[in-house]
Amino acid sequence: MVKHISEEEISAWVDRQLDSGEMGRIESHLRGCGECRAAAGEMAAVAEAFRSTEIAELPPYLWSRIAKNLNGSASPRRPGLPSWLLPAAGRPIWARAAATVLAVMVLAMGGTIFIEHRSAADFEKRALAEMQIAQNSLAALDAETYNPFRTTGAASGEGNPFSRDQLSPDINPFRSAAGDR
Amino acid sequence: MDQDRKISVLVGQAQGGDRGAIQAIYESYAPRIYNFILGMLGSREEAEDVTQQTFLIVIRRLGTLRDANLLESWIYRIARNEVYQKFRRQKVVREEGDPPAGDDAPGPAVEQRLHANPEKLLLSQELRGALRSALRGLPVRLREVFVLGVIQGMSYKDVSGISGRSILSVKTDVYRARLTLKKELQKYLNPGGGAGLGKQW
Repeated sequence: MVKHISEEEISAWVDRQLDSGEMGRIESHLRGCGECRAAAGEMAAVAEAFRSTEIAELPPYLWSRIAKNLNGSASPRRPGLPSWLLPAAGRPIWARAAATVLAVMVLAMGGTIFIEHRSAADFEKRALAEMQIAQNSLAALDAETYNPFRTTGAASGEGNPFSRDQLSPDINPFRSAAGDR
Repeated sequence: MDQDRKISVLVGQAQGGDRGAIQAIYESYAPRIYNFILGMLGSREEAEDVTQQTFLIVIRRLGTLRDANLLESWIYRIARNEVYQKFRRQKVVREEGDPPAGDDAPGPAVEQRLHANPEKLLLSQELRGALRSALRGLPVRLREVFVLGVIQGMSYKDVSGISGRSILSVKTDVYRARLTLKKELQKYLNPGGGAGLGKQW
């Protein structure tokens, strides 16, 4: 009685997945066994049917779709801008947080330096300007009194808050001890 | 330059951002990957989408590939993952096989070749429909090993590496798939069945 080859072994033989010794052993069996040969033929026919009709051609436009998608997600570097100024998409959260903190610190320091620098330079200018404004306002109210070059009334001391006539001798810090008494 | 060396150089260039090398890798592997995905899903439109997604992942993660010789199996594993994700999204992973809607129309190039003989075209279309229907009817785990090991002619060892199963399990599942398909396609495989391919032996 002939011992047949298992169909699982025949299936693997059809796919040429056995080692050379096993392949040879099954081949020699198939030469002498019509039943196993028929089984092997059917299994090979199944494989052949799929291999001969199931090869689909790759759509030619597929690469364009992939390339377009790649371009969309990985935008090229903009000229003149360092990478840390580019959008942070894809960077880890800690990197984005660190960048934000750094940006706030730079802005704060820059603002302080700016204010200090401006104060030192502008202070004198602003003070002089405000003094000028005050002088102009007083001169507009009483041009003659606040005219440092006036000639009239100067001798009487009228309008002069520091004239001897305007001050009580008791509180006049400019009095001379002998003459005023 | 042998094939392994050529692929190694290509992968190195692609990892350095060379767009030409990336396209060359796509052109080398995409036809087989697309056919694997089409065999699994049965729909050209879905196969195109999943192939596109697969290669986007491949290109973005190419820098993580340490051994260029593993490129092919690596791409297949990514494609397989995407196929299974698609199944999960569609909730159609059933071991008993619940075929999703596919399309049975031949591709334009095949149709053009067959147009010279209308009778042959009809036979081809009928056979193609029967084959796809039978394939879609297979449980996913059988379909997977049949597409890779039989239709694509990959070694059981490679199929084992891609599918994460033992070689013995692959061998058994290929046989079971073959047996199921043989029953489904008896009409076409039987020499007396009219439209059959007939025994090859």
